[in-house]
Amino acid sequence: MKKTITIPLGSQHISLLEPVRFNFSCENEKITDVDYNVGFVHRGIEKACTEKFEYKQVGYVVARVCGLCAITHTMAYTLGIEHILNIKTNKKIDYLRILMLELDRIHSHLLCLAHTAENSGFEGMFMKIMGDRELVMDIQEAISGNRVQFDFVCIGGVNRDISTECEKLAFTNLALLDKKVDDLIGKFTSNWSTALKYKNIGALSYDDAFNFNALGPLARAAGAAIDVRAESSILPYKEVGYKMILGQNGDIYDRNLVRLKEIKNSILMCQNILSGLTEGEILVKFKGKPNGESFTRLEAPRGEIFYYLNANGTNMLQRVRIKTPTFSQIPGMVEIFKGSDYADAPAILASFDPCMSCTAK
Amino acid sequence: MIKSIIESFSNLFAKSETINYPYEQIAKFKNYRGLIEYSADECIFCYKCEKVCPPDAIVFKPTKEKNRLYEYNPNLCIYCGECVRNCPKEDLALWQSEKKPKII
Ligand code: SF4
Ligand code: SF4
Repeated sequence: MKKTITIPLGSQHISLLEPVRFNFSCENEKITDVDYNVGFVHRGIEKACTEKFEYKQVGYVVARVCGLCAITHTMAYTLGIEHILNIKTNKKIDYLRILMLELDRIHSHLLCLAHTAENSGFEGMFMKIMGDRELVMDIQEAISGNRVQFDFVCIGGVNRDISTECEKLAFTNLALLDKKVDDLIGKFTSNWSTALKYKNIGALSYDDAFNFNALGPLARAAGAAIDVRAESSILPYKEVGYKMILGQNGDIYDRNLVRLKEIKNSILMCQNILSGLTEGEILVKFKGKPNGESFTRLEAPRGEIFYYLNANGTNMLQRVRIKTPTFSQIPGMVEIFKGSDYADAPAILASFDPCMSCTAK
Repeated sequence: MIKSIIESFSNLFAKSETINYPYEQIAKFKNYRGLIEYSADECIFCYKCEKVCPPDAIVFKPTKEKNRLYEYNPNLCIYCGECVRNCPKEDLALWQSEKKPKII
């Protein structure tokens, strides 16, 4: 008699946020093997960036790779093309860029925590966290003028300056959110449904984090100090109070805590930036067409994103290659699934915070 | 445990998080990015806005007269404001309003 049964999860499933298909081979309750397919939302963005859009427009196109880390994608592209064009930005531009990146991280992490709570069966907590997330969304909307697609960064600078009103709103909302996050840390360390039952579930060891190329909160929860913000000096993160946050066990419980603590660190960074913002130009003028190639790494909410650009002195780029964090994390995910209970699969999946539209682009 | 019970009860009487739309209006922030507006009288027909627009929402149609006819598709527009920033007569010929497109 056949011992294993295959249970599909996806490509449409009630616990899935995005179309991805997993085929779990299970022996009784345990998952023994996983097969996956991530290519359900392929939109041909890389091709469009080299054939349809000019280099000045590509920033707006790559923002549509992902709705959550829109700003990170545009930023990575912009930093790459600025490297080719040899544009030097000033302090104010860098600070405003970090501000938006960190606000993005806060709301993305909150969304992930909300979904982890939902997938563990705690619907009320999901609603509550999504409600708290509005505080950050409001700041982003006030600064950029739009709620989801910010289109805030452009080649040579940023599109909008920050007004005193926005600054005030940001300070109030961040202070409010800080208190709420403290409260959430309490809930994610002491509550049975969201915290205690997930100790040692879906764990990735320190060695495996390196072996399977884990990135972002997934790696940091396992204690691996992998963070582009600490490794690269492309944006002045050290000046604004960045701190590496590490977990120990690499389980769902630790991943949640790492995310919560990172939110606290991001709030602190945003407050530092807002209080230290100087007067200055928000746009540097530039001339010429890009010629050359560049590699850019940037820490997105889910881990490192990587952009390779190749330009040949015309308005059209020759190659745009985007590598997203979820793509790199798939081997790690598969490893974690093996040996886990099938019933835990949705919660484990939510705790990875996978972004499939990014991956398939 | 006791803390969560108290919280659950206090939530029963707390103010709702959501807005009672459409009876209550959603507050809009200042400088909200809305429809692009155009004035043919001020335009110098340099066609820069048409060139920079990523989704081709602004198109100048050829006509029998010298100047082409400005056509704007609000459903294609991504409200990035790139056209306005590139217009040599920003705020006079082309500007970004806070209006929303009509729902057909
Ligand atoms: S706002 Fe952007 S998308 Fe809309 S017309 Fe102007 S350039 Fe085109
Ligand atoms: S950029 Fe301004 S002036 Fe030039 S064609 Fe467009 S609206 Fe007219």
